[in-house]
Order: sequence, then C-alpha cells, then structure tokens
Amino acid sequence: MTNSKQESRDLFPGALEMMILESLRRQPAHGYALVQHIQQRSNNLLQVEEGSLYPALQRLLKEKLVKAEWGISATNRRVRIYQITPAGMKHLEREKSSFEQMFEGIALVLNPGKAIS
Amino acid sequence: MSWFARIFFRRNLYRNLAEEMCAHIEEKTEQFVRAGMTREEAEYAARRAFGNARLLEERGREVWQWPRVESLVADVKLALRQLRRSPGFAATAILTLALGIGANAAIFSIVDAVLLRPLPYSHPEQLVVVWQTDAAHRNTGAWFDTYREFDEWQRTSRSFEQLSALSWAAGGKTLLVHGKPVAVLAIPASANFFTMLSLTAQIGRTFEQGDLGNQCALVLSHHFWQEKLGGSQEISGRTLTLDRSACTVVGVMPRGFSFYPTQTDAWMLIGPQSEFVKKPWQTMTGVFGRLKPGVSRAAAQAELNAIEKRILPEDPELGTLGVAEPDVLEMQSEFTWLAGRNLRTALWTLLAAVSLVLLIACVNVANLLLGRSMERAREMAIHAALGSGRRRLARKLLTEALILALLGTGTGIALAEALLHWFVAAHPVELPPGNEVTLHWQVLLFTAALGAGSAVCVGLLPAIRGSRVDLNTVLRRSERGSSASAPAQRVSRMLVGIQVALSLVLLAGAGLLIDSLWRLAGTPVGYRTNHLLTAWVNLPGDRYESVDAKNDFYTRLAERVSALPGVQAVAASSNFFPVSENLLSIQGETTSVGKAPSVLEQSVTANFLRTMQIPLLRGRDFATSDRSKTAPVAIVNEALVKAYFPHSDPIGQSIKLGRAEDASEPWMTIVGVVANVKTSTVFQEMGYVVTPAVYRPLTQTAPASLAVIVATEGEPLRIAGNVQEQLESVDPSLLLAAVETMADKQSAVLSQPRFRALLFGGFATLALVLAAIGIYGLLAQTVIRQKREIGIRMALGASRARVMKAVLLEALGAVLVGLVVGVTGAMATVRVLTSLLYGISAENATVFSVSAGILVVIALLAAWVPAWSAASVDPMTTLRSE
Repeated sequence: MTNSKQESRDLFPGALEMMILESLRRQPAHGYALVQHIQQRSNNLLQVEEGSLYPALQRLLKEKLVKAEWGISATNRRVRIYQITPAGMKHLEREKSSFEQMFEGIALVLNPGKAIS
Repeated sequence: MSWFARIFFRRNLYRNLAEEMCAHIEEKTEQFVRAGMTREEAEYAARRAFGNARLLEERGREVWQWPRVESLVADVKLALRQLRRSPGFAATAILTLALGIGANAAIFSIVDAVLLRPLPYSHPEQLVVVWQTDAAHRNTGAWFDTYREFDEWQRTSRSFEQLSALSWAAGGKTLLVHGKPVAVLAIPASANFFTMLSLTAQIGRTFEQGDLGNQCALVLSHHFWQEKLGGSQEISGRTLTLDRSACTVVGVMPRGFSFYPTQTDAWMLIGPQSEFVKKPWQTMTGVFGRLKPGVSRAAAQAELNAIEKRILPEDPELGTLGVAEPDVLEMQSEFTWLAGRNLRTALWTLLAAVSLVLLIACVNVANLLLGRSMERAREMAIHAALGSGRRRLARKLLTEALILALLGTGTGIALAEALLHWFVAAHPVELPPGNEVTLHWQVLLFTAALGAGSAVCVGLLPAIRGSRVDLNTVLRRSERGSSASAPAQRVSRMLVGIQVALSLVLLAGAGLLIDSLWRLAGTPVGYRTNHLLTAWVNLPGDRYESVDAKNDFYTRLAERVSALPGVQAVAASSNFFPVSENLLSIQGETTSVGKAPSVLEQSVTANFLRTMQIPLLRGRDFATSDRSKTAPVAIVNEALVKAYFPHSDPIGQSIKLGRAEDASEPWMTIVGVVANVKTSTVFQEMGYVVTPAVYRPLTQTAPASLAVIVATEGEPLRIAGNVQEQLESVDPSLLLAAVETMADKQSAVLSQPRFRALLFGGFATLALVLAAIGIYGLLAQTVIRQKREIGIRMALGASRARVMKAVLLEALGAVLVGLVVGVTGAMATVRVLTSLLYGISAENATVFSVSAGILVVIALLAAWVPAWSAASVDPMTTLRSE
C-alpha cells in the first residue's frame, strides 16, 4: 500500500515510530500526550498531522513494540496508555544507531569540508 | 496475537482505535477552548490539526488487515451489493458478456480441435499424405495413387520411416451377423498402417506381417464393435464373414481413434490375395507416410516422383494418369481440406466474426457501466469528499466490471458447453478426424483470457471517467439523477457508433453468406431431387460376376419393387451421377499420348434418365432392347457435344471409353443427347460443375455396386423397409446400404455453407440486438438528463412531434456515423469471404444497403421508446418538481 509514503511526506519512513518509541521509553503516555511531547521536544519544527500518530501506533502494536491499556489520564479522562515493551526497547536502539549512521553519512556528503577533518 | 485470533478481535481493535481518536480530538478541542476559542472554532481547529480522520482511521485499520486481499474483498462485497441493487442492469450486462464469451469459447473449441491442436498421433508433424496431383490442383491433392506406385515407393524410397496404404476408393461391404446382413465400411489398409501412426489396439493387436498369411484379417473400430457386435471382450480371434469370405478379427481400436474416412467400421488388411496385389495398376489407394526426421516434404516428393517416372512405362493403360505427379502434403491440413474445401477459411472467419460479437458485447456493457457511473457521479463525489482516493474509486468501478466479467465468463462457459453438446449431437457439419471438439484446457485458458480482456475493456473507460470526479460541480448541482455530463454523453454516443459499425460488418457478412446459400440451393441442378429414395446394393463378385448375372438380379429386384404401393419407378446405375473418369476416343480422330480428353461415365438402366428427369434433347433414350448382345450404344450430354462435336451431328458417331487402340473396349454409337446435370466436386465447395459425360446402358457394362433410385409418391424413406424386404426375397444375403433421399444428398452438399450462414446470421442477429440495447440505453439516459430542458421547451410551445424528432435525430446521428465507418470497414474486410460466396461478389451493393437499412430500422425502433417517453414529458410536473 501507499499509506506510509503518503503520511510521512515530511518525515522519512519509520521516523515517527522512532520518536514515539523514544517518548515512551521515558514514560508511558496516551496518544494526545505523545503528540504534545513530540511537538514540544522538536520545538514545533516538525509539522506532523496529529492523527497520523494513530496508524503508526497501530503498527507498533501489531509488531508488539508497544502495548496499550485503558486507564485514566492526569486530566481525568479515559485514555489508552501506551508502554514500550522490551522488544520495543531493542528495536529503538537498533533504529537509533542505524539512523545516526545514516545521518552522519548524509552530513558528510552535504558538508564535504568537515569530512577531511 | 495470531492472525487467526486477530480476525476475531479486530472489531475490538477497530473500536479502540476509533474511541481514542475521538478522545484525542475532544481533548484538543478542550485545550483550544481553554485558550479562549469558542467551542465551534475550537472543534474546527482541532479537526484541522488532526488531519483527515476518516482516512487515518482507515490506515490504522489497514495495519491489521492483509491490505490487498481485504480491500479487494471489501470492494467485491460492495460491488456485489451494488449489482444486487440493480438486478436488471446486472442481468443485462452478465447475459451480454456471457453470449459473447460463450459463443467465442464454442467457436474456438472447433478452431482449436481442427486447426490448432496437432493430430492425436505420435509426432504428427512427420505425418504426410501422398496424392496424385496436376498443375490445376496443386497443393490440394486430386487423386489416389495406384497400388503399384505405392508398392514401389514403399520398397525403394528412403525418405520415410513408414509408408502405408489405406484406400476408401472401394464401396462398402456386407457382413453377416447371426445370418443377417449388416452393412460395413471395411477400409483396406496395409499391414504397417497402425504402426506408422504408433497406435496400439484396445483389445487384441493391430496388423502384423504374420497376418499376410491369413485370407483376410480385420481390425475393428470401437463404435462398430460396440454397436453391431455387442462389445464382446472375446472378439479377437473370432471369424466374421465379410462378403462371403472368412475374416479373422485381430483387434479393436480404442474409442478415441479416428482416421479418414471417419465412418470406417473396420480396417481390412491388404493381403497377397487382394485385388490390390493382383491388379496393382488398376487399383487405387491413398498413401500415408511418416517422414524420417529431418527429411523435408519437398525432398520426399522429389524422390517419389523419380521412382514413379521409372515404373510408369509398365502401366498397361499408359497415360491414364496423364500429367499427374505425386504431391506430398501435410496430413493435418489435408484432413482439414478433405472435411471441407473452405473449412479452414470458414473457421477463421467465424472466429473473427464471433470476436466482433464479443467486442460489441463489451462496448455495450462498457456503455451500460458508463451510464451507471454517470448516474452514480453524486455517490462517487460523496465518497471522494469523505476521503476516498481517486485510485480507490477507480478500483471500485473496476472491481464491478471484473465481477460482471467473471459472472459473464462462468455463464459463458456453461453456454459454450451447451452449444458444443448440441454441435456434437446435431453434427451440422463434417469435421476432420482426429481431435474431439471439447472444452479443452486450451479453450478454457482462451476463455479466461477473453473474460479478463473484456473486464478491462468494459471497466477501464467508466473507471477513468467515474473516478475523475469534480466535487464542486457535482455536489453543487441541485437536481438529482441528472449529473450525466456532456463529455460522458459524447463518449457514450461514440460507443454506440462503434457498435453500429461492427454490427454492419457482421450484418453484411451474414447477408453475403445467406444470399450465397440461397443462390446455391436455388440453382437448378438439372435432375429430380424430390421423392427419390437412393441406396446402394453391393453385389459380391463371386456370385454376380458377369454383366448378365448383375442385370438378371436387377431385373428381378426391379419387378418386385415396382409392384410396391406408392412406387412410381425404379432405376439403377453405377452411381447417382456421372463420376468415374475415363478417356474419350472418337473414331476418326487421333489424339496424342497424354492428351486424351477426359470424360465422366455412368452406366444406367433404360429408364434411369427418365426417372431422374434428365431431359432428352436429341436422338433416343436407352431402351430395354439395348442388351449385352446388341450393338454398343451411348448417350452423351450437351457439354460433351459442345466440347467434341461443336460443328457436327453427334448422333451416329462412334466413341470409345479408353484408348482408341484398346481392343478390350468397344466402339459405341451415340444414339442420343441429354441435358447437362450440375454436380458438385471435391475441388470446389461453393459451386457446381458441368463436365462432358457419357451414359452407357447397364446391360452392356455393369458395376460391382448398384446405385438404386426409387421414385415414390410420398415420403421416400417410408418405403425403405419394404424395398429391403424385396431385396432379401431376391437374395437374403444382400443389404440395402446408405439409404437416404436425393434431397438429403442435395442438402449434404449445402451443409458447410448452411452451417456458416447459420452461425454468421446468428452472430449478426446478436449484434443487432446488442446495438439496439446500446441505442436504447444512450437515448434513455439523454432523455432523463434533458427532462427539464424538454419540459421547458414544451412549455414554450414545442410540439410533441418536434421533441420526438429531436430525440430520434440524436440517435440517427450516432447511427449514421457508425454506418459510414461500418461500410468502410466492411468493404475492407468482407473480401476474406470471397471463397465462401456463390454467385455474388463481396462488394455487393444491395447487401450493403439492405444491411444498413436494417440497422437504421432497428435503431429507430430502439430509439422510439425513449423518444416517446421524451414526448410524453408533462411540462407542468417537470417544472414543478424543480
């Protein structure tokens, strides 16, 4: 399907998932809180449609990288709280290192001068 | 969670997803409210920040699905629901496709069995037929070879793995089963015939060299063994009495085996005692061979030709064969040619015609779907507004087309099965031996491809158009059910034009074939065809050897049969028409070797020409006074007079059949001249020939088999039983074989052209019906769309007649464009029919104008109903409903 391509028009595939996992690693949260957290942490630089979080969460759930339970939020709402699983932790580590490598590679290409030093 | 459990828990997953998305928007809204927005503004802002909720929810769900399969299942479900909601549309579309696909599958099965699948013998590409041919009959084969030639070829040629003889030159035989005579078509074959085809028997074995020591050895065909001999398993080794000689059955062939001639009951080994071996230059046989790998037909032909040249001087009737030479032909194409001179052309033409029908059917269904997508433009727009992508909309429409095609293909296959069932049972036309006509896997593959092709052809246009929804225009438009856009209507009109054009091609083709059939059937043949019973009586040579013995037998038979009630006359002959070829010598004229003119001869009883109603033009008819001891006489036909006595009186002239110096043949005096009869020949299907012919009295030359004709007052076949009884009272061992009527014979000649005309006519009718549906559909949509406009026009004073005229004119416009294209197309294509026509040229203006006329009439009839409904628009109701 073409969904992943369409919804991450301004992110690369897997980026949103990585950010969700990173946020959840710090503390479990529900969808709304996750969005708030990601937007704050990125200084609102990332323009993510809030709703696009949910298909990503479904993918993570399916891969058993997160788990979810209904609970009560700080603002006293019935919300679905997500928690990272050990498999999610491992996945995040792997993704982060490969992302860093990629980022480094891109940076080297974009700034050839730095590569020599 | 396993995929299995997921299916059951998915509902739960979806609910969770929906709920948390709702909660998210709600929370966001509240945040905005707290920030000072009004509730309404906040909600709007929250939704904007969230994105397309419906689409995202769908994406979220898709994570849990097998996306392709499941969305397909959903589409299929939806399409089925849509179709069920409009059963009339669905039935029309499915039936239309089924007719097209079914007819194609049926015709293709025949093409496949006859032309595409190789003959069901091992390595069929090596198999050849050797005929004698001359320059006039190149590549068609003309005559059997003499047994002498075969024998020499078999012994000395090196091109063949096997070369075998099989001859149907001789007539049928009579078999005694429990003392009762049974007609049997026993075909003489050489010992290696079956091994050449690499075939084994189902029971017992095929011929072996050892059988040559037997007086007579037989291999039975499966159907003869089953039907006439009761299918007994202990058949092999049994002795059967065939024409009073004892024959040993060595085996029975399997059910599926067939060869020329297809009616063969048994194969009889050509042994050392047979006529073939005794008189090798006078007996004729077909020669069939298996080439050695790598040997070309041309090389084999050259070798056979060289061998033939070497032995030809031995021929006691040197020059009978004239300029004939051996021709080595591919077996399968020769079989096809034997079954029908034009069978190959006819089958390809029919396949082309039937594919036009399918094309028309597809255009029709495409038009129906297009109309439907226009009606549903609003629905589509709503889907699009709710976030369905364009691809998804197109897929929905394509799925619908695919389902229609699938159901159409299924129904079509059932239809084809029924058609083939009829075809095999009714046997309307002769097909070559070899493959059975069935829905073979290749046919099913072809049908599946047709189904898929038609789905694309049917669905693509509506899918492209239907998915190109302009939300603004469609949704803004207030009227319901009138969203058909003008460009779509234009496409629809174009499709109708295409239908008309294709229909015209079929109609013109059918017209030409039907007209040819009429002309062929209506041509006076020069003899009586009604109320004539025809049958063969085979006289065994050991008891009926002399001419007198044969004539005595005939006289006794004729006396008894003439006495039967309802019988007007009885006559006999060597054949029903002059068919056996011979040389003509005229006393006082010399002809050089190899240039002796060839004529046809027939020996007849004194009343034969009268009974056949062949008019005597000059001189006298034969009389009972012409006997074996009286002066030899002959009657010739007009064609012979024109060819050989153009300026002199033929009466009283002396002629001889054979070479002038051949003392064994008598000089005969011409006593009369009769009119020509038109006969059909193997070389030409669509037409008759008139050949110079010589008639001789049966009392002066008698054949081994008598062709008997009985002129009756009523239905000829009703007295067949009585004639057989009389025959048995003369000689209980004799049998009346091949009993039919002269009209049947005549009808058999027409079977191939009739079959073609019937199918073509059927296709054309189908095309007309489909075109009518297409035109009706187009106009019905136009009228619905323009109802308001028509109402206004009528309110402003337009008369009913004028409204009707406008609608009819619109139909006529599409039809006329179609006609122009169709006539051009037909002109270019009907020429392929030329060899299938008789007495009419492919560019016949009448046929074209009549076809066009029929189409216009049908179009107007189809347009009448929508035009009428347009004229019945009540301006008040239409305008009020706005």
